[in-house]
Amino acid sequence: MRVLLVEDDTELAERVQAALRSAGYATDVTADGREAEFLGQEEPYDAVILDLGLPERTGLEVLGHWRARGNPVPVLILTARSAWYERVEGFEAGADDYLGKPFHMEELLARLGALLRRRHGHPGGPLEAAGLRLDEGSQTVTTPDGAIHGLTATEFRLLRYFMLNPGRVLSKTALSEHVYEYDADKDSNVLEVYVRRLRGKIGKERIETRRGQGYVFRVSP
Amino acid sequence: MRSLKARLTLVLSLALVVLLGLQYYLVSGAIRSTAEDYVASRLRHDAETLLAGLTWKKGSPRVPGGTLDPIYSRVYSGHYYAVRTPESTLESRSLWDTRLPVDRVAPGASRRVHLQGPAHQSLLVYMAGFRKGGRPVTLALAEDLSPLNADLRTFQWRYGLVSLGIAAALVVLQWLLVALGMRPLDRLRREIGALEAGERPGLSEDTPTEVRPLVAEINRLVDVMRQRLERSRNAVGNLAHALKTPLTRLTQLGDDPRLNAEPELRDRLLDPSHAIEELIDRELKRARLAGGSPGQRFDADRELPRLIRALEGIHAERGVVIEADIPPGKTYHGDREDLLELFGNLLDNACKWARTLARLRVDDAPGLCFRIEDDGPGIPEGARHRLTERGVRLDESTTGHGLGLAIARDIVAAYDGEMTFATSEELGGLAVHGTLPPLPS
Repeated sequence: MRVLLVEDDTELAERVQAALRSAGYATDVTADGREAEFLGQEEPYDAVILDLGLPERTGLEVLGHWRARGNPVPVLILTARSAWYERVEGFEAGADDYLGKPFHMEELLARLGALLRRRHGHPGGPLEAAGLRLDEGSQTVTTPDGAIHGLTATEFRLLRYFMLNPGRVLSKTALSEHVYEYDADKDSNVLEVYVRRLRGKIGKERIETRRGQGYVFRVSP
Repeated sequence: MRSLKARLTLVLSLALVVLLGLQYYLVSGAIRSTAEDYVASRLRHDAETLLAGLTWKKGSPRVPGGTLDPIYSRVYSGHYYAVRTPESTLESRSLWDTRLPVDRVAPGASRRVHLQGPAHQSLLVYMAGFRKGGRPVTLALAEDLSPLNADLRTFQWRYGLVSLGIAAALVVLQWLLVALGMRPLDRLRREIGALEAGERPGLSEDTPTEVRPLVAEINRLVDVMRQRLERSRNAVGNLAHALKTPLTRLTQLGDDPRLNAEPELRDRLLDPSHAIEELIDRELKRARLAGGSPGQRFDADRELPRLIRALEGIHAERGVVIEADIPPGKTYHGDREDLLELFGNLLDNACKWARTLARLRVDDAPGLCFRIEDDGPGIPEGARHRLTERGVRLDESTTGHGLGLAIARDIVAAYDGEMTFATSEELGGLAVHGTLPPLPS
């Protein structure tokens, strides 16, 4: 899962980024509305956390431009402007959720997680697919036999992306774009290593390799 | 009398009646005196003829036949004379057995009197004193005015009727003129009503010179109020924003895992942060309330569904359904931001506590009457009254319900409205009834 955090308070942005990373989200940060608009349009983010009071271009403008160009990325507005008429404006501009400042990090993470699950057509509660249950808090996966496996941050991101997109062919490029941050080294060989390790934990048959296309997370073996 | 129109109409009508009455009186008087003068001058001529023909026989006056018109000989003809000397009196045959009371008039003097004559005749009597043949003599000549009076009365009737007709026509005409003249004021009154109700942003300046300064001043005041509200809202908004950024950092600091080992320190950090947060939320929201100032309009039918979409987004994870029943075209003369804040807080509270359903119902009645219910656990009756108490400290309000309802209460109070809490009969949770009064008409 790759998230764009648009926040002009650097100190807060660092904290949120750290929290998002430890919750298993690859997180890019920008403080500038113009850059945010560009990144959100060019990079395949899974979600955007958007502040409204931004330099250069307001958050509502950025969001409006994305929606006008048909960009459906889920957007959670995180702002101190929390009057109800402002919330209404936010949703009118195309926001999917709205959180007023000050906020608790758990609520932000819970709302972000819920937003992503909704977007991928999953109902509330922990993420479950093909008999696997992913615990986002402890970053572990429970297999059908009841065994609990710990996951590294990258393994967790990768598995969550697989589980949110079961049965779909995911190219290596798409996977690395959703799992790594903007300036990370996107070496596809490294990705293969993570897939191999993941197979070791959840069972080889669950992630199928499609030569020349990528990988498929299989719902039924 | 408060109505300018009624006052003007009354004063003008009175003036008209007085004027026409005066004219009636003067015209009648002038005609009567002209007619009497004419009669009197004829009588004077007759007196001169009588004097010329007067002869003396043994010291008594005599009027030879043929001196005067024969009408003076016909009984009760209406033409009479009397000649009086200190010793005797001679009267015309027409008087028959009645008498013409004649006072002595000094020679050279003359008098004109009205007397009751024979056969109920109303006589004009001309009396004059002369000296003839060395003796003083008083001549009195009278003529019956009854035929003249009858003519005069006929004339007065006609003249009176015509005057009344003219007066009625003029009263109607001036009432129309007053109504026409007041039309700009009537329009102004309607416009002020529309301004109050938020149906127009200001008053039309296309008014007569007399009221234009008033209209301009009202427009200026409405503008000033609007600008002042906008300025103070911006200032308060900026202040809230500026305060919340450092406050967010403090809250984040409190959530830092390094503080897990120091729960007391965490509380000492987070408690005041929360207190400040609630104060900012409540007090600054209260400060930015517009209340019911003129030129505002809340389009409930349009705005509430948008608000509900936002609320459904915020509560999407819990899957709460919001049912809304809003009369089509329902509007209220309140500020859009105030009322969105009111409904936002109440519905948000309902969604937080609802298990599956929150319901909003706006009545199709004057003012703004609404009911918001949920199927949550509700609030026990004993704790409910605290929600409506004024000045309850936020941390004392029922946990979870507190801040949103406190803000809603402030907004309702700013509009002189009422809000009560009860248990929803249909859904079982909390039911909030609110009533904001209509414009005083």
